[in-house]
Amino acid sequence: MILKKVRIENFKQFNGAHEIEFNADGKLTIVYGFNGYGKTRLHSFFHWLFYGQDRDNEIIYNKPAMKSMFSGDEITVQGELTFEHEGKDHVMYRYESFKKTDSRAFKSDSNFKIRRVDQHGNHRFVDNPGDYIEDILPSELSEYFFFDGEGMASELQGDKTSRNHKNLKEAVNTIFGLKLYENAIRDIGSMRRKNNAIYELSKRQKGTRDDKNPETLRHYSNKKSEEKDTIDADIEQISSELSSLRRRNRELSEKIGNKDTANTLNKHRASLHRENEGLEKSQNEKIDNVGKLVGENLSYYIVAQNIKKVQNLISKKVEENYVSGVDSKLIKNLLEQDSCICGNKIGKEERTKFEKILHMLPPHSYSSIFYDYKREAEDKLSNSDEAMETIRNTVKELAQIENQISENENEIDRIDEKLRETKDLERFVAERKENEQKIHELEKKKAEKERKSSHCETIIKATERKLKDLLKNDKHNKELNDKITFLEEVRDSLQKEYEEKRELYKKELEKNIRTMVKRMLSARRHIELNDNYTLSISDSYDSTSLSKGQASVISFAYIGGVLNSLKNMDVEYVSKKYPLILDAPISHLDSDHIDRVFQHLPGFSNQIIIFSKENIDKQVEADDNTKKYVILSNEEANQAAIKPYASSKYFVDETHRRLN
Amino acid sequence: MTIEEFMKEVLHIEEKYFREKGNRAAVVRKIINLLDGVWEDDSEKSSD
Repeated sequence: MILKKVRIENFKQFNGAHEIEFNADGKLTIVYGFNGYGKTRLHSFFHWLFYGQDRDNEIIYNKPAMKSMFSGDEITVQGELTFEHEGKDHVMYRYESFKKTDSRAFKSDSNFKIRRVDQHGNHRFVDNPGDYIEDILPSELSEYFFFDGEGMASELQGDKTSRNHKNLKEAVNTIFGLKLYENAIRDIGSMRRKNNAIYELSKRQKGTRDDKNPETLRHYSNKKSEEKDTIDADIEQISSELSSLRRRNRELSEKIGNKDTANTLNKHRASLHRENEGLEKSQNEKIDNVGKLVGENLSYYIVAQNIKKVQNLISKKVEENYVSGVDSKLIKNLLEQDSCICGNKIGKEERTKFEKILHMLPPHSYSSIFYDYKREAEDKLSNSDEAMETIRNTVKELAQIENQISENENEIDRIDEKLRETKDLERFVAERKENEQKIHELEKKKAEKERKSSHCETIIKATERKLKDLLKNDKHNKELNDKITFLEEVRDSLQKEYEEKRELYKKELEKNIRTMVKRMLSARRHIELNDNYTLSISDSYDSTSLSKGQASVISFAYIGGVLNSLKNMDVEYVSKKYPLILDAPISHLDSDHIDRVFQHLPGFSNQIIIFSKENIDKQVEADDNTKKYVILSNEEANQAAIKPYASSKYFVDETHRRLN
Repeated sequence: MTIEEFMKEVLHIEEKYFREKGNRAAVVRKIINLLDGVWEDDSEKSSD
């Protein structure tokens, strides 16, 4: 089925007539619309047009138009779809008229017709258009081909609040033709259930002379079967509760991880506090000590330093003027004799020089006086050096203590931050504990139910044996028994074939979904397809959590996987060409994922129609043939219109989106 | 009619029902009629 053109008239906010022409052969058709503009309603229009039912159970006519009408006036909601199927053009037309009375409007007329154009261009109405369209696109599959991405995203992960949850299994089984097997198995049935062939045949059996109880036995068997069904439904419910509790606990455990509890953190915090108190005490003691040492020794230390300086200066001076091997006794002697060592008389100039030297020599020299002073001071000063060394070391220690205190304070801040987080953590721990308790109780309850179910099964089988034994000797009953046995064999063969096909299709579907996820999702995820066709998704840390964006990508991958499986497999009874009409959940996707999705989307189906609130011009810009439309809206007036897309100003300027 | 042939017939009935959104009770009746027919054919053959 390839859609060519649709006309929509007076459907909900789409007052008046609007038309969309569709692309086919893998080319996209895009309908842009902001939130609240009517994208989803336009999407649901297709469902109404095909099957005559509004998915949201809303009033389908345009309310403002109805309001402005007079009593007795009529408004007609109509849709016309031109499509091609098996090489022939068709026109599908549906309308519903509503007549206004004083207080309300009621449906006054409706019709649904399909015209088929034969090879000579002649138009002929098809008989039973409802059946015809069911044949082309079964309504069970409509959830898939009128694809609501967000609903699908939650449904795929087994979210029971999703309105489509029950339909997922039905839809996939229908797509793969397995629904026919399920129905056949159900309709051949068994003696333990009503409304099936075997049960109806068994009702034809007659009672025997010695026992008029076949009816009673059948009744008993049915009663037990119903009881077993209720118990089995309870077991299924409990299993599902258990699996969601276990899933939640895995998530909680991941959140809790190896993080410390508040108790551990508080202990660590207290020990750091104690350590800092100790350090501060020692710091104060050391500061006192240093103060004391400084008070006692600083003056000496300063003096000692000065003495050293003076000593250096004097030594330098002496070195400049002192002659080696000369002492004061020799100089005095030479001055008294007025004769030099060389025997010459000492001149005036030499005498002055000798006297200068004499002043520099002990016992009256400056350095001698200095050394005397130094010796006297040395005892006191030696202590000050030692004290200063102690002071220096203590100051170093004080700096280390200060660092340690500051590190501890930072660690305390970090602990406080963690403690704030632990409030959530403790809530998680409590929830996990509560869940564990619930799991324990549910497991007990489930085991009890399973015992009861197994007990019912034993009784049912025994009753069926009794019933067969009771009837086997009678000719009429024997023939019925043979028929029942034959039907049971047919049913078991169908069951076997069903299970084989189901396993095969499931594997193929899982493989295709995995391939699609790998191509579309940048993060690596392990995908498993469950028996009810929901997905178990986990990463390498066994975490099952998914962002909204990832869930959306996976929903695209899922539908892609389903459609690819359908293309690759030899599935009987089901046509392989479907249009895909997507209410696309791309608002949660980053640009990389939008690119990835749009890279693969055209391969899903030979016709894809996308409803989007995000600008995806960039993703499709290479394809000039993309047909694009926009929904203009006047929300206050509850009116909307569909127009060809003019420019990206639609996304940035409200005046370009407003319907005047 | 073999079990396999009967299976195929039942699936055809189901397919028709599925397309026509028919009545389930009618499907059950059709299966029984099919079975009765098979039995009659067999008894005719055996009496021949």
